[in-house]
Amino acid sequence: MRTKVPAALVLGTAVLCWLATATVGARDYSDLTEIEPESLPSETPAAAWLPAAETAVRDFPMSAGRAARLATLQMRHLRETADEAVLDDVERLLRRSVELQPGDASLELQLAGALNAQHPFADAIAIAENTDAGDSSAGPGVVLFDAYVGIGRYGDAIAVLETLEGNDDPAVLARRGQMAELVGDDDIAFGLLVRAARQARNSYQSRQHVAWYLYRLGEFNRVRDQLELAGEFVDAALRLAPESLPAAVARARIARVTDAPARALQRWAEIAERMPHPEILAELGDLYDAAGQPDRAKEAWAEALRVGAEAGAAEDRPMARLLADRGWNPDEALMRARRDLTHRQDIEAWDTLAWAAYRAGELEEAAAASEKALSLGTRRADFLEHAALIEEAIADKATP
Amino acid sequence: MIKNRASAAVVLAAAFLFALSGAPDGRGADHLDAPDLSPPGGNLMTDIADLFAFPDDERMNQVTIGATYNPAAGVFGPTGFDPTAEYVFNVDMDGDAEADTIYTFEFMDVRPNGRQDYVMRQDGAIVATGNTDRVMGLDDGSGRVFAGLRDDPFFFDLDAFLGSGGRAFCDGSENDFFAGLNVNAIMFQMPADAFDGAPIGVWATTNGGGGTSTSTQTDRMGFPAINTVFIPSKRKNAYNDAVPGDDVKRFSRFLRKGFKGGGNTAKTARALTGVLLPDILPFDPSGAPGFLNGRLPADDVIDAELGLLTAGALTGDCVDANDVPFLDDFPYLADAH
Repeated sequence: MRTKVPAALVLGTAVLCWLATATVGARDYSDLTEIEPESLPSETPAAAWLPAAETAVRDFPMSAGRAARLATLQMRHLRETADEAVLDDVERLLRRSVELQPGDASLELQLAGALNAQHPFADAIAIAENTDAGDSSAGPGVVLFDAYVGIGRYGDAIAVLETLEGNDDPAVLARRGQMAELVGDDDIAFGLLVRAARQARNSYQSRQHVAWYLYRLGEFNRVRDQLELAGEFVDAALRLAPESLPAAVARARIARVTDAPARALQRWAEIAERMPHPEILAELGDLYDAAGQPDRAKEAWAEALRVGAEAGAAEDRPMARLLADRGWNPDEALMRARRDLTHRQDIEAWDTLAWAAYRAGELEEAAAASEKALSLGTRRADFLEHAALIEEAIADKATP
Repeated sequence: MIKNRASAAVVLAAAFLFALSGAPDGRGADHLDAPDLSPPGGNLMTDIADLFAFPDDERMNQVTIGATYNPAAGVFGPTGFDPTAEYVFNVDMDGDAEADTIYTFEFMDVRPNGRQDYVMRQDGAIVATGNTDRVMGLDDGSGRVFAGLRDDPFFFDLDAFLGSGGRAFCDGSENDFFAGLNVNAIMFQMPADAFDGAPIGVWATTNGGGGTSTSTQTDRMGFPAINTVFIPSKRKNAYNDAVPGDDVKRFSRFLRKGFKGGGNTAKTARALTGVLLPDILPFDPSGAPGFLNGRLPADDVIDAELGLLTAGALTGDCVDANDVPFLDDFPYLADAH
């Protein structure tokens, strides 16, 4: 199924054909930003079910279904608590369940979906491509799409979306929106994300699921500096699912611009407490620095570096960006960006390499990588800024 | 292989995408019996798991009809009923595979206390209103109704059926896969003379759900496990969309093939298919209760069906009872875990 992707030329026509069917929603989003939590069902926290599910797996080690059930609950637990320690266990459980019950499409798809979260995309693709889940199931398609996008096989991702043409499931609409965003059709992307959120609400999905779509809309607007609208969507997401970490992170990022420094710092400290990842800790350091607390800033930055070093290759991309952004260690940033690219060749990997190479003074490598990062037509502000700086540096160098 | 992750927020997003793409497992009597009932696109809250029809021991001349929905409620998704769906019980009173009386349940949004108000109608007229997780009376005082979260009454060694890890029925490791799980249940009780005291046939349907029109049938069930066991994967949605009156014409060949594959002669396969299709649960209130005259929650329907399917080669799955005792009184199904 793999097809070669000769960059934007091949993509353009196909993308425009299927995106042409998308309609941009009305400009009043109050039906989304003012959803009453009580109008939707709520999921029971996974923690309530985990002990029984763990016992069942211990008591019945040959049960594929019980292993898969526990894995599903652990993934929910990850969503609710950001406890990534469960990821390896999820993969182990699902591999075990597929081994116990070979040929079961639902188990294979769960495994492929979990692998996408871990990023062995090639393994996920191999599984999902060979899964027969019945004619009407979008399951293999959405899993394959996620894997293709994750690994940078955009032509294949578009081909998958074409097979899902006419499918109005919010999960499919959101992926169509993601593709539109990647190729720079922002209006269409936004329209599709709005449709996805409305469809999720109208189809009585759980508060937690609808909140995820609202978070996506908030984040979409935040990175485009539409902070007021971003805040409305993110606040709506948090009203539906106060425990949502992605929404909390997005809210804290908006607060960095819109809120009083003390309030923004407090929000960010809460996020870092729940999710002590290098990029989160580094941003916490930035906020302390801005608040005139240099000692605490240094502490947070040092912790970011320590956590990043400990994580090794698992945190290559965020560490490459972090180190390049701050100019702390351009050589390590470049090494990590190059290593990240060996695993994934998506446009973010190319942009990370472009930026790290630029900061390390490798302008030719930076320019080549930047060209690939922009090859789809994405309008991400950080990509464009990196490209402009690289171009400017090359021009400066050429000037006697 | 080195696991090369994205930022923390992206990992969390991936966890969400997993939830939006995964297809949970847990097929049983009619649990998760078709792709359209599983995510993405599917709606577990409208997935019918089991159907019951039986007389009340204590109250002579009372008939209880009920069904369960939303397999593994709370594990794979929310626990409530879908307010955009209709939960329907069809009663055939003259044996023509057409509904002569229709009971419909419609649920409202979940209230802050977790309960849902609902309306029960008979042929369009309101016969009861209530809220979930409590026994309510029918408006005319003739019977009772319950809707809410209960223990899943189904018991079955699903792992052995699926051959998980080489398991087989009665291999010494038998266990009830559905132990410890919950379902949504609707049970209602009314005088047998509401049906003129005559034999009836019952099947449950759900219409709409997930925001779709209630003019579209989502799931249906009469006998246990017909769709799960006999109907090929690619026809399972079509089976759920169909009406019993078309069953013989459209689906007989699948059941005949299944029975013959299980070791039955062609003649027996035809006869058994004739018993199970149309897929309507027969119930004669004046006869001895229990599967195949209606179905009691405690009936070991899997043993009965395995015996039929395999021409007696298999006599059961060695799981003979529910994981928790049933209640002695209405609504009979045990409390939720």
